[in-house]
Amino acid sequence: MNEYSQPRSGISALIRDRRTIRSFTSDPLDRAEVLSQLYAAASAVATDWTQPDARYIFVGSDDGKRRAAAIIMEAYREQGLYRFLPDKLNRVMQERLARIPAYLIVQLRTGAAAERDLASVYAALHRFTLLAWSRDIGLVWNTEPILHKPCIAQGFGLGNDQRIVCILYLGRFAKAPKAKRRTPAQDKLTLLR
Amino acid sequence: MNMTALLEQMRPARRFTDRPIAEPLLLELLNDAVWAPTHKLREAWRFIRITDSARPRLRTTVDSSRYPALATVLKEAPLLLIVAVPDSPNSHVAEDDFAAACCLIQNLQLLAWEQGIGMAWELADYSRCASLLATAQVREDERIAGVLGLGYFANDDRNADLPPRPDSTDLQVQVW
Repeated sequence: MNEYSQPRSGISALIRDRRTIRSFTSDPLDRAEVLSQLYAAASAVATDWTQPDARYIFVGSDDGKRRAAAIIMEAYREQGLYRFLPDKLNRVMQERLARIPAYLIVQLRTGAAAERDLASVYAALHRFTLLAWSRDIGLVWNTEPILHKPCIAQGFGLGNDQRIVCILYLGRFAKAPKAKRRTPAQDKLTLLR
Repeated sequence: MNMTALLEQMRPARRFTDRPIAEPLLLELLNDAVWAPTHKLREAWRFIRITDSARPRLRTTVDSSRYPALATVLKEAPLLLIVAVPDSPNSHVAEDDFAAACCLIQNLQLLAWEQGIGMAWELADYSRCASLLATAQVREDERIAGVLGLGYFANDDRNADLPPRPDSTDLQVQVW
């Protein structure tokens, strides 16, 4: 223990307590609440860089989820992963997607500063993750390669100069997973003398 | 401070005081920041701290007319830290590792702000900065997720000289 160890600040506790949530309760999410958190996270100013041209689709209605889930399932089928599996499993997966309270589809226009824009969006999504967690909303980032299939681009209306960054699956949760040990920063720190 | 207030106040740092950041505090901040989401718990990031003796060597590698913001940070920030990640040949893995490092860097900035410490995050196309990469001992199979400059705010007045927040119309959301 050193003089900096205690007490932990609000942000420190928030950052350490956050977990990835994959299993949600059936409680619906309030769209206005989630979007105001997204706005607060996206409009925070962390860098001097030009704001990235990011677009979001918030999917929360039953109709919207059916539409989005059909696009996502099509990408899995294109991948060939589920082609030879019984229809029953397809149905189970589709039902699982339908039970997730909300999805957030994150798109980015890719310009000259592609890496910086991507870093900006990742930082904004992490701020959103922390803010949502502070209000008992959990989420998981999905970045699977299937998101880059043409049927995803077409289904979610991406232009030629746009890409999907990720899909966030969000909801309330009953229980957070236990923490797994992290490697101390000291073990990953090199001094350049 | 709560997260909402922090998000409203936080800005990238531009000016620092000379006050050094104590080593134990840096480690404390980093050990909180490593609780970033990281796919399959790879924790693929690595930190390179530039000591004062190495700083002049690094500064000579950066063309200040081409990278003015980076040159300023290398010159003025009391503490310099590079976050490097593997540039995996698997682009999906490389992208996830880069994303995790960006979340870690965002954690660090939030945590530092609460201590009265500002952070500048520099991220250029470093593939064109071969001598910077070599001097900083970033390996060929790695890339830089950020050159970070950290330091205490002047006069403890972190709200001075804040650039404006973007217009609310900037958030483009469709609802399905």
